Amino acid sequence: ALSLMELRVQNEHLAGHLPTHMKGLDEALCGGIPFGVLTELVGPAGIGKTQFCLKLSLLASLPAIYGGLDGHVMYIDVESKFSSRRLIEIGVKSFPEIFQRKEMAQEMAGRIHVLRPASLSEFTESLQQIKVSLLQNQVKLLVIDSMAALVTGEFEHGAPRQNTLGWHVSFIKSLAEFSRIPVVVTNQVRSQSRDETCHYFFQVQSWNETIEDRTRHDSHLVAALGINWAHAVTIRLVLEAKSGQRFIKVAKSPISPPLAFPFNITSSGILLLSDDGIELTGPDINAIHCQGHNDIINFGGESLQ
Amino acid sequence: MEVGRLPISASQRSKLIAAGYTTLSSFSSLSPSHLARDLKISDNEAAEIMRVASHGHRLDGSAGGCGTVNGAQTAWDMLHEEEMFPRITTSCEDLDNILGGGINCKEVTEIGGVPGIGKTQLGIQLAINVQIPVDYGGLGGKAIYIDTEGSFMVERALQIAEACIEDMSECGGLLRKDFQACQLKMHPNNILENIFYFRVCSYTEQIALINYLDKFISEHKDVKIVIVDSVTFHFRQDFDDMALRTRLLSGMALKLMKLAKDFSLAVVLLNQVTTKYIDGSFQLTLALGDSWSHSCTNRVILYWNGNERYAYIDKSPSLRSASAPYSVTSKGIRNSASNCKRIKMM
Repeated sequence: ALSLMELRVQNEHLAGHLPTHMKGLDEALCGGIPFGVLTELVGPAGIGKTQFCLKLSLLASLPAIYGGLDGHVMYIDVESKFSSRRLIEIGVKSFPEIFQRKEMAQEMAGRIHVLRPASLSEFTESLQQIKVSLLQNQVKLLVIDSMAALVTGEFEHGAPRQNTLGWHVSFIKSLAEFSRIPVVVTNQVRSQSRDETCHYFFQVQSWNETIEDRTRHDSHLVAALGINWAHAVTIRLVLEAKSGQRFIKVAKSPISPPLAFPFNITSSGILLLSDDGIELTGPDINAIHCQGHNDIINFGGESLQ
Repeated sequence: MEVGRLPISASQRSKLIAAGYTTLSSFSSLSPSHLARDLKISDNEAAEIMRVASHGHRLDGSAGGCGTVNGAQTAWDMLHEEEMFPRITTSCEDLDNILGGGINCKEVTEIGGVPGIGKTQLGIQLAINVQIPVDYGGLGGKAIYIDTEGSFMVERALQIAEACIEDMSECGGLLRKDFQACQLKMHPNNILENIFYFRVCSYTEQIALINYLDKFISEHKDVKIVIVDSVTFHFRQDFDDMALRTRLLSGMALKLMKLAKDFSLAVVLLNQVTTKYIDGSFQLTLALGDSWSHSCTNRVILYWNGNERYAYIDKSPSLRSASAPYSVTSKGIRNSASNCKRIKMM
């Protein structure tokens, strides 16, 4: 283990983390999005997952003197949400000194390769090709937006979804590890069905409790792709809306305490409102809330500049 | 029966008497390696002495009535052996209490739970706690960490190692003020050095590695714990032939149990959860199926109870079913904040 540590600190840029430029989050994650592991972003629609991915793609393409990875980015865009205009806007607003020159913008944007696989089999093929380009050492970040969309179109009869992505998950993880790049995957949410309990046989629940729980379940969202996927990711960042305020929570991470940071989406990407996260105890860190989310969206043009 | 009457060489006899063994019964319950260490002779010589001694015993007609079957041990001998090996503490007093002092050597313990409950944290904590020196009540051994999912983060291990050293020097300061001899010379880098980290990327690699561990541990005799995190990951992805899976898993389980027994080390397997349809509702159970649940000696399930993390002893031949709260802090696994007790290291 010591040799691992030394290897990372000496060889890797920034000791193996990609800084997100959100100070509180970077501190919580010991420097940023770690290399070599799978980081998942999960949240309801419209909360800012794609915005986060755009910002990260930009950061990875920046030269090292500005805190980037100076590399190429593979962006797998399943839902056709990638907007290059928005990408340039984020770049111009966050790093005005770099993007003033037109060639810089072109070069940065030229480093982000967007793939749009239309089906799972195309995705599989692209993964193989990505492996080859990884070996050539140019790609420094892999973003998959979103993983859940790959499976939802495939099976109508609710066939075993857990195993569909099984091979892909192992492959992506091994890709991340041997090439030591950060991999960011976004995930969707679905509502929790009534007969899903989250208890073991030795936890006895009284009947009253189950009635209350049912009403709780109706407003509760859970991450898609099942519990197998939840085990497979190393870091899970939950984005949610609670009483009209967006939060980004570090829900599962071996290196950080469970913290929640309020944030807003601005023209320069994502801005944390507070760098000291709120520490959440208990399983609440994993819960995905969607209260007051509509207000944020409807406010629309006024609060988002 | 007197040692003097044993048909062994004069030098061996004098060594036995010098070490304090005057009768057969005084050393017949020891393991050959223990005897070898005491007399400073080779393992083979010690085994030879033991064999001659037990032969002598049988002729005598004294205790040990039924002739010893090769490899069998009496229950009394096993009790002595168990008491010789201290348990590996989890750094959480409540958890240690329900485990009877900690994780037991020579046994396979399975620990399972939902994602984010702290399985990897517990694994890293144990890999560090096994290195606590004997003076402080630990085993002073090394650890093997087999990582199948890539969740071992070196930064976190360093953090926990530093916290462990802090705790030890605190305790050292309190209890051994005049003991200049046991100066704490441990550095977090030393601790990291003693964790042998293996990364496996497929189930074939996993099985191959476990087969190789036999050789590895005979070369590194001070390994005292093997942690597999997690044992399920590669067996849950795209495995079509369930019968093959069951065969592979039981083969692996047998190998691990043999490792634990032969080298007197603890084996800790971290498992994931899955939902199962029982009695009309879905319940959470540990993954890998029913046949796997027989393969381990002890089973601990980590779960959420309200806002606290709890551990529950699900299956154990010697411990009763109990739950204990614990928490995951920046220093590693500790007692939950609601019960404020000092952690006892000795």
